Amino acid sequence: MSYNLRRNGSLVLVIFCIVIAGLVWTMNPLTQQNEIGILLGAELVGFSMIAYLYTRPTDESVSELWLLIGTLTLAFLIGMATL
Amino acid sequence: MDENKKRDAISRLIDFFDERIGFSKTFLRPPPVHTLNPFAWLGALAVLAFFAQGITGVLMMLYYVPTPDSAYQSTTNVIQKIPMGSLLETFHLYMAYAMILIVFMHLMRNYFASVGKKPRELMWVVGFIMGVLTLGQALTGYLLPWSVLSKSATDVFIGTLGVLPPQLFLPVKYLLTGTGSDAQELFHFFVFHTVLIPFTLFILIVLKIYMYEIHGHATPASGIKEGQERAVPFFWDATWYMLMIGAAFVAVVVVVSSIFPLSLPPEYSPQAAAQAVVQPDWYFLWLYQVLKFQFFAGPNEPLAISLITLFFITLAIIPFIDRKKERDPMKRPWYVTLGAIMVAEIVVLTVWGYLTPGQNAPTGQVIEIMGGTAALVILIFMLAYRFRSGSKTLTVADIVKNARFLKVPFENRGPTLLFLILLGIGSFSMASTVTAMTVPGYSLSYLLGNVLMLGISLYAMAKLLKYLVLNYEIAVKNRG
Repeated sequence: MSYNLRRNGSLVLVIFCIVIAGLVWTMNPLTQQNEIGILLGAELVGFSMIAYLYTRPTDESVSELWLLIGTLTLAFLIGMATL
Repeated sequence: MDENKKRDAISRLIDFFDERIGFSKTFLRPPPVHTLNPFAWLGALAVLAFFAQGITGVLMMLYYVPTPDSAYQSTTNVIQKIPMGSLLETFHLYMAYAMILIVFMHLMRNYFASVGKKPRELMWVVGFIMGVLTLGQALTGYLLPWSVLSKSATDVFIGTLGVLPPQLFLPVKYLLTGTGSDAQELFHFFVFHTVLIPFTLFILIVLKIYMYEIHGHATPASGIKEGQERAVPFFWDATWYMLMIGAAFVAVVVVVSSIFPLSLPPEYSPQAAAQAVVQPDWYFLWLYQVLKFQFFAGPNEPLAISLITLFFITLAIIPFIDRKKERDPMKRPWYVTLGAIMVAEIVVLTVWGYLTPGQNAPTGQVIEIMGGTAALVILIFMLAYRFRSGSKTLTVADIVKNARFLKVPFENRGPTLLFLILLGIGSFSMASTVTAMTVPGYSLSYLLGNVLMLGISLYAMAKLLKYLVLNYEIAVKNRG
């Protein structure tokens, strides 16, 4: 994966994490704890994906399958928290 | 371009400190590529869990009151009235579960890869003590909500220690419960949970990291593949990797905590305790199930405690027992099979304990379940070692390729039938032998007769098995 793709991919994930953090900020910490927890989990998954993109010794083997699994996990978590 | 400049600036800052502190040559020295594997980082995940527990624990301590009158109320208060309190409590509980699981996986991974061999024996011993302390941490934390289940299970645990000699039991009991009142018991457990055990664990973590730095990471048990011995810089290669698995680990625990929030059992009271079925938390179920074996009941209870202690001590000093230099699991069939039996028995005992709360386990059932599990594991590993097709590790393809051995019993019906009859006789003799040894009223001749019968059936089964295997090998050779 080239440096640019790595940078763009992580940029998208950073924006995602900021948006989720904004969403969490607006939620009620007493009555919506479960939703907040799931969204915090999504933040951590997003961060884990950024770290995966930057894990350098495996430069040549960044797996698109893992990225897909990560993205689907994020979609699933967001769905769970908002539905 | 700007980004590259920034990265250089960060690198220069790191270099500035590194030149003065020297961390890249000591505790942050470059790890080899083969360590970039989640199983090589289980210890780091356990340390991460330890610190996560520390942070959440301190936050909970802001609200928790360690007295019998207020403990349950203050815990409920955190769950119901404090913002993010429910998530905090649940996360603390599930992270404790995750820590126990990770520590167990770390222990078993190190056992199978035999990384505790010379010169890392003391690392194994220190790690084992840390594992026991983790269980101690879980035990002491379990009492703190003062629920009917936690208090009753703790009382049963303290009662079980009563089989120890008085010279040992009385000081241990005093250490755990003080003068014996509920208030003293809760306060002692609270101090153990929040100060003594975490502090000891922290010291041992530092000691273990120091030893790790001295000896470095163990090479893979089956040898290093080409290019895997290359070291990678700690900044940022190993750091990113560590952050990745750490974030994924915490994410799993946070999400599970959110989906399955904690619901506290009722508050402890002597009346509620009288009606409750006592059951420890899942990580102690296997030990509790052993204590429920019928032949360990009553006067034989000290025997159970002695055997459990012996098991723990043996596991703690295993690097001093298994002193051969060979580390490849494929070349250590005895120790690997014993380890697999241990894992299987712990899992089976845990499930069994969970399914039969408060029920004693009859001797015959114990022999069937425990013996059956061990026999199954031995059979699987015997086949795995026998049919490994010359490759270093057994793959699913190897098993499929060698699945034709399943035909052996059908092609040799007579010897197979005889084997099954002998298996029945052997099992019966074994059950009768244990019964004669543990239940009073059986004569010595009955016991000796059963021992003799057991020996004969085992010998005949071994002969038959050899005959079947030889037959199979001849058939394979002829086909080949």
